[in-house]
Amino acid sequence: MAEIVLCRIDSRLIHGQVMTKWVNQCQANRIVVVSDSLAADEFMLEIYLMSAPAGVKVECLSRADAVKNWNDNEFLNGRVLLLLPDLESMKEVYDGGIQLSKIQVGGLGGAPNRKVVFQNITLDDADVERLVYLQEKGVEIIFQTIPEDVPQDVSTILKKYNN
Amino acid sequence: MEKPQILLLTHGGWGKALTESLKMIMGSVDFVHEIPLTPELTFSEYYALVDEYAAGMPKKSLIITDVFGGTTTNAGAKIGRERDLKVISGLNAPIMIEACTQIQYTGDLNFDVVLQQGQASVMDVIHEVNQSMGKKES
Repeated sequence: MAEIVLCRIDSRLIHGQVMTKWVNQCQANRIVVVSDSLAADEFMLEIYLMSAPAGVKVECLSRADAVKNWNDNEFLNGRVLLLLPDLESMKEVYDGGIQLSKIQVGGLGGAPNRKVVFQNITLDDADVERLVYLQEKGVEIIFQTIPEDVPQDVSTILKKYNN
Repeated sequence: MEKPQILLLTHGGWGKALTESLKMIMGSVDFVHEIPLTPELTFSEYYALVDEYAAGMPKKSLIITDVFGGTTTNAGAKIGRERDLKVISGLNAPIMIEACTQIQYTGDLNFDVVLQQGQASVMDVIHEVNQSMGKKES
């Protein structure tokens, strides 16, 4: 059974911050990206696979496959950094059975109608609903972009959003 | 043939500072453009910005990105493939000097030479010099 050492929501998925900071910080040796669009894009997927640091295995699963593998106990071994692009997919895999106790929101990109709540993280009403839903399920949710930041808890963030 | 352009994709826009400094050596390099990846941009937003600019670039133009594994390269790779533009990652001064010199003097870009110069530009200086001296002695 794999150990999820970090579950991160980051719309850039694998990128500089994740590769240089979080992989080392949490001593992950596997990165599992859950993204339907990336799983279907052979060329981009290959780039992500190639950019893995030495000793770290990267794989990408669709949401459905991630849930299936999790429930079949096929998440293999290792110290896994689970990476998802948005809260919508997080809620979907959570409801599918990937019931983690802690998640980190590290980057949620801008779009019209989204409000900045912490550094470069933005939320909209639908995201807030998802956060409240996960919080009520007992998931500890923190907002943090790089390890040097002081993590913000979801209640603080939600207050900011509602102000 | 329209003169090729160079598009720099860097974290925070350090390629602009590099280009400004290189002007001391190179003079005007008006064919260099940069699109900085700033923290608030998502992959899709950055992709859209770069793609819009790349659409107007002449044939044989070159995209140079800073870090393989970073969003700059991820976006550059996708666009380069879609628009048939070459992409080099690992931006540094020697690559820029080679590429800019070529464009300034020939109005063209020899991709293989730029890549080769870039790859050869990182070296263990003392070791290389000692080896070179040793070769002369023997």
